[in-house]
Amino acid sequence: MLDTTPDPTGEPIPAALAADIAPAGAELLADAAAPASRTVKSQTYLRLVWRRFRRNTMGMVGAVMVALLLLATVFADFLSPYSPVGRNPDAIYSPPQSLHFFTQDGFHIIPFTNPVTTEIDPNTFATVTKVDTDTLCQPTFLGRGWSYRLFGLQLDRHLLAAPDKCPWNILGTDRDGRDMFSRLLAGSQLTMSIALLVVAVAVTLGSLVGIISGYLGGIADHWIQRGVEFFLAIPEVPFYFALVAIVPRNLEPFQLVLVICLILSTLRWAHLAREVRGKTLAIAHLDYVSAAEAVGAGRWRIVVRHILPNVMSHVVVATTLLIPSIILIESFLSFLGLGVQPPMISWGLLLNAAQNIQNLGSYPWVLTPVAGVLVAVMSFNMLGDGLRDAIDPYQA
Amino acid sequence: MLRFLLRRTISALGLLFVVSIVSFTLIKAPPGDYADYAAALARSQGGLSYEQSMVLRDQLRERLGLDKPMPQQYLQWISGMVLRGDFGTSYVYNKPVLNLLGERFFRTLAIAGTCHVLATLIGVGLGIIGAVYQHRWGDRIASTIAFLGMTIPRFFMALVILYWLAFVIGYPYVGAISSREFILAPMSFAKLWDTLKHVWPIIFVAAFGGLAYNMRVMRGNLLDVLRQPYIEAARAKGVPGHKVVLKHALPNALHPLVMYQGVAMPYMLSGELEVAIVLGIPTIGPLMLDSLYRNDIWVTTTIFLWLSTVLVVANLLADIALGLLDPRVRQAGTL
Repeated sequence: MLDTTPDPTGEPIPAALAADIAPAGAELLADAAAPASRTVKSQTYLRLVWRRFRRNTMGMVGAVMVALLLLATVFADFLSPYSPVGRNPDAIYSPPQSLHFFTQDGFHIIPFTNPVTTEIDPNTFATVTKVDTDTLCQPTFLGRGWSYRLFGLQLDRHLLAAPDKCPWNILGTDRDGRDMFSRLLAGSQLTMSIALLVVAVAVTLGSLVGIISGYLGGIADHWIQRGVEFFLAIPEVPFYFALVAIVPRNLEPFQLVLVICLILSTLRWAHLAREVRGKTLAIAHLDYVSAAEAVGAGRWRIVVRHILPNVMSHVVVATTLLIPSIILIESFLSFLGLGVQPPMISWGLLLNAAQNIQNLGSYPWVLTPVAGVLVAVMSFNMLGDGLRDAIDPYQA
Repeated sequence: MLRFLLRRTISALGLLFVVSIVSFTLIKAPPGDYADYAAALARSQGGLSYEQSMVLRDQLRERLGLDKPMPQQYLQWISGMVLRGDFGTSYVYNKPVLNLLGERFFRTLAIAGTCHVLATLIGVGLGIIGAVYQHRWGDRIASTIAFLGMTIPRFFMALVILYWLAFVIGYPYVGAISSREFILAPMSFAKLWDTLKHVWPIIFVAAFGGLAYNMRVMRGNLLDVLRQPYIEAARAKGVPGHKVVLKHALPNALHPLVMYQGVAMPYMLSGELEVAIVLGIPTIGPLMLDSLYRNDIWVTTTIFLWLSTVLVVANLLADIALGLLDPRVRQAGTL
């Protein structure tokens, strides 16, 4: 135990050490054993991980949900019945409409809504809502709607295209009469892009710094670790606030998104750098690394070919677990109006409407975009937890 | 031990130095300084011409030392803080930042501290349940609570609680730190109880999120310790089950948790900030947000500086606690 500073993972170092030695060691054993008994086919590390992961129900559910979420993000425009920016002055803050499948004449496979009209009772002045059960508002399956671009193609087909005459706002509308369901889908694109971009930067930086620090050791390691400690000691939310404070106010919305990404990537790499350094330290003293050095392999080759693959599994897990935390913090900043600005659409920005307590009280459905955040955070966490348990297939 | 203390304190001071440099950079980063602000004010409200206001600006710069090179300004700033408690002036309120922060800061600390203690105690409790009943119902329930605490966004939880309190049950204690009649009253048990009625949502949400991490760390460590041979020996000897866990295993599983406390504190502070902003409870959070909306950079940065200082101190305390608990940690420094 060379380092006395607290390990942010809270993991006892010996366990982490064992976890890393095990795959490498057992792989060697498996290779050595293979020629002796030809009937048993040796399993690669990935296959073993997959075998273990498959048995983890939570992890599998998470994986499926993540896959669906990513598909929905890519095909968001195809899935939205309305244009996310199309305003409808006749349906301002209209509440979510309930979906029905049955009429008197039987079952409809595509759910429909009934148009609702509100009138003021001439005697009591109370608002009376009337549901027009005779009219069916049914979207057309693969019908034509608003046009969008997907993979460079100009398209106007939608999975469910909105009916012309009457509204089909299953999650209600916002203050401009824009369809919340379509906006929720559109918001996923920006939120996920920000999360993926930030995580890509943070993971690259974190694993590079971690490997370099762990492999070089000595005085370089010492000072890099002091730097990492500094980033770990910074209170996250106040730091982001302080950085947002100095962003110029006259940026274009798209530039602002990039700046937000930059701000969000300033802190998260440090944690990963710590973990990767720990693993690298453990690996760098193993025999096979010494052997590679003895054969005359260069430093770069050792880092890339011998250490990186063994650290990779932890990096993958860290990536999956970082994405939800970025989604959370981005939503919070945008919710406060400090992050992404209109006309961009992100989940947090949609929730911005709920910051006003009167809005929240009168139109509680402005909270629905939180469903996106919840689903994304939960599924990535489930996948990450499952992967974390699976990357160590030799453990009992 | 003394050497260990000294080393830790020096590195904490180093951290504080870096934090102060970052804060100073943040203050200086936006274009324009106080002299520009005063000149603009003199033009718009005092009726000065552009040339006159420029003269005023230069005079102000000279008087306040804003024309000196950056390192000198930094020294001026930091000595003002340390020696005279001068943290700069809020542009918006035209008051010293210190007066603005004072009481609110201690509220934040008290609330975050309460959350921290609660989250640790409940988290450790759940962690023990999770480890002892591994793969059984107790474990499943504890893990589910932890998972939910980790995944549900805090501001969303706060919004739902706010909606429920304000619109469903009409709770009278929303959006303030204490009721009318207690605002100027001296501290008493009744006032404390009243304050609790106002701030419990913060404590609930922040602690709920924080216990998840404590639970996971505790469960993992305890499981590792419970697999060790000496535990088996104790069981074989006939020591009762609860005694094995609480007396033999638990003390050895606590170390990583103590290490973790320094890392958990930023989480609690951020949680307190988030929930207090949503609920509008006058602690540091809403003040910082307000200063952001109004470009009041001194307030923003001073809050950042203070909170970072708290964290550095908390980390130092966690390190010292660990050193007291574990001789290996103390010794490692002297090697």
